[in-house]
Amino acid sequence: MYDTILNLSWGFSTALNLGNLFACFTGVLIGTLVGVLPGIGPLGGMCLLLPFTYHITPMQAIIMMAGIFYGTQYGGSTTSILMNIPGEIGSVVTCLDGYQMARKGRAGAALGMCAFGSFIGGTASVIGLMLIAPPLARAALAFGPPEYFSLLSLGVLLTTYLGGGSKLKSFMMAFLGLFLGTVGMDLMTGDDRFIYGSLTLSDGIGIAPVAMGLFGVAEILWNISEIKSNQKEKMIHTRIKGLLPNAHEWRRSLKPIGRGTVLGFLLGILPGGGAILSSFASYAMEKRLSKRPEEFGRGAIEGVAGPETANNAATGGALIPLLTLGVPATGAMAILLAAFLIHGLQPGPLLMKSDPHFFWGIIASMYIGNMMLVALNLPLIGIWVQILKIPYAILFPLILVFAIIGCYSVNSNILEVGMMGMFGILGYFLRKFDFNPTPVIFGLILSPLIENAFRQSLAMTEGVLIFVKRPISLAFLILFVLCVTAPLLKPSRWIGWFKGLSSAA
Amino acid sequence: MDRPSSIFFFFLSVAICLASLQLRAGSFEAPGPMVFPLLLGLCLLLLSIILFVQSGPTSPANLSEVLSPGELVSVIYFMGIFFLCVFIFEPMGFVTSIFVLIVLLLKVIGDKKTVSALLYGLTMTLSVYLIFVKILGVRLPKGVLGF
Repeated sequence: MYDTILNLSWGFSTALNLGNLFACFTGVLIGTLVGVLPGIGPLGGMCLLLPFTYHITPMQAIIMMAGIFYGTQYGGSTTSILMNIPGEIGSVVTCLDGYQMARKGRAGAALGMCAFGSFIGGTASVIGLMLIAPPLARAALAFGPPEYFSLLSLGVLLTTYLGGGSKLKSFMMAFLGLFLGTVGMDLMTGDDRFIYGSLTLSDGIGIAPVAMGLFGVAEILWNISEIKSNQKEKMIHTRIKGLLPNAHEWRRSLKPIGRGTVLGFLLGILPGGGAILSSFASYAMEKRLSKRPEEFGRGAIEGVAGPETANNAATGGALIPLLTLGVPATGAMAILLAAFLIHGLQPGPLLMKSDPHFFWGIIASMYIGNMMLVALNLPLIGIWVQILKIPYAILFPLILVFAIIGCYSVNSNILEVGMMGMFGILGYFLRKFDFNPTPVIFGLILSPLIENAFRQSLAMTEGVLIFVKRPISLAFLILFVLCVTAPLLKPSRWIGWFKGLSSAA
Repeated sequence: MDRPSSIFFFFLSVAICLASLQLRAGSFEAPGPMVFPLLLGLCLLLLSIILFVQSGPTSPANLSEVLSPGELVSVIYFMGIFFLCVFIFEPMGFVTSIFVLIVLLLKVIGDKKTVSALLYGLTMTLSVYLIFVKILGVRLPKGVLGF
C-alpha cells in the first residue's frame, strides 16, 4: 500500500507538469466534443487525432489519447438524452430513459446525473485499475474459450431484457446482429462468407455504419415522417430546469451508481466488453432489480445513472489488459496501443518495471482528467442544450452530415456510408413494426467473439460437455439458466399457479 | 401486425441457411465457417415461425395504419437525397455534395424558400467544412472545387 501511494505521488508529479496538464485538458475536451457529436465515437475520434500525437512527447500523447477515450464516455450521453441519438456507442442504452426524461422536462437532471455518475464511475475505476489491475488481469487471463462462450451467451440473453416489448422479437434482433457479425473473412480458416465479391464486406460489416444507420438515420427518418404526418405535438419541447437531480432522484440513483461502477469496471476488463457491454448489462440489471421495472423505457433515472456510470467505469477496466498485458481489449484500446508503438513504447508487464513514471503518470492523469471532466461538463451542458432549440429542419440535415463524415472518416469508404443509409431504412421499418434494434448492435459486436469461443471450445476435443466441465463456464451457464427461469421462480407466479390449480379442482 | 415481419424474417432466415450451406462444414472437432451462421439462421427461422403462429392476420387497412403513404413518400424523398449525396460524394467532392444534400433537405423536408435554403446551405456547409476539414483535419474528398 505504501508503495502504491509512493508511486501515485510520483505519477502526480509527472502528470501535473504543465505540458501534461494541457494534454490532459485538450484530450478530455476533444473527447467530450467527439462524444457529443453523433457519428463520431471514441474509435473514430481517436483515429482522427492520432496523427497529432506525432508532434508531442510520448507521455503527452498517451495522456491526450486516454483523455479522448474516457472523455467520450462523458460527452456521449448528452446527445443520447437531448436527441435520442447516441453520441457514441456506449451511450446507446442511455437513449431509452434519458430521452424520455428529457421529454418529461427532466433533461437537466438526467444530464447532471450522467455527469456525476460518470465522475464517480470513472474515478472509482481508476482506483480499481491502480489497486487490483494485476490480480484481475490474471483472472481474465484464466478465461478460456468455453468461459468466454458461456459469458458472452449470457450477455446476449441479457439484451433480450432491454426491449420494452416482445422478448421474442428482441431475440430475433440479437440473432440478426449475430448473423451480420459473421459477414466477412472467417478469421479461423480465412474463408470469405457472404461477401459476394465485395471488398468492403471482406473486412466485415463495420459497427459504425450499422450503429449510425439503425440509430442515427432511422431516428431522423422516424421524426421526418412524424413531421410530415402533421404530428408535431410528438416533437419534444424540453425545458432545462436545473442540472442538479433532486433528493428523490439521488436516492433512486445511488445504488445503480454503485452497482454500475463495479459491473462496468469488471466487464470493461474483458476483451470486446468495454463501454457497450457494461452499459447494456447495467441497464438489464437495474431493470431486473427495480421495484418499478415498468418505468424503464419511460424515463426511469436508474436507467440513466446505472449505464452511464458503468460505461465510464469500463474505461478504467479496459485499460487493464492493455497496460498490464499489452493486449487491447477494444478498438479504441488498439488505437491507444498504436499511439504507444508510434513513440517506441511497448505497453505490457514490463511497462511498470522499465517506465514506472509512465504507468503511474497515466494513472494520475486519469484522476485529474475525471475532475476536469466533471468541472467542464456541467457548465458546458448549457451549450449542448442549445442544439435542441435549433429547428428540426436544420438540425436533421446537420446530424446527417455529421453521420456521413463520421462514417466516411473511419475507412474513407463511401460504400460504408451507403451501408449506413441501408441500415437506416432497416432501422426505420424495424421501429415501425415494433422491433427494438438495440440487440442487433450487441449481436454484431459479440458475434466474432462468440463464434471464435464456440469453435475453439469444440476444438478442445472434449465435445460440448466442456462448457459444463469448467467451473467458471459452468457458473456463467447456471446464471444463464437462472436468468431464463427467474420469471418462473417468482413466488407470486407459483402462488397464482397453485391458486389456479386449486380453483380448477 | 407481426405477420408481415414474421414472413420477412422467415425468408431472410431461409436465405441465411441456404447461403450458409454453401460454406465449408468442417468437422465436429474443427467446425468450419458454415456452422455458426447456419445455427443462427435456424434459430431465426424457428423464432420467425413462432412469431407467425403467435400473430394474427393482417389486413391492408392495418398495414396502412402503420405505414401511411404520406410517411413513405417522405422517407423515399429523404433517402433519395441521401443516396444522391453518397453517389456524388467522391466525384463531386465533400463540399458540393454536402451543400446539395442540405439545400435539398431544407427544401423538401423543411419547406424552406429557395433563397433561404441556399443561404442556410451555404452557411452550414462552410461551418462544417471549417470544423472538420480545417480544424479537425478530417480527410474528405475534394472533388471538382479542389478544396
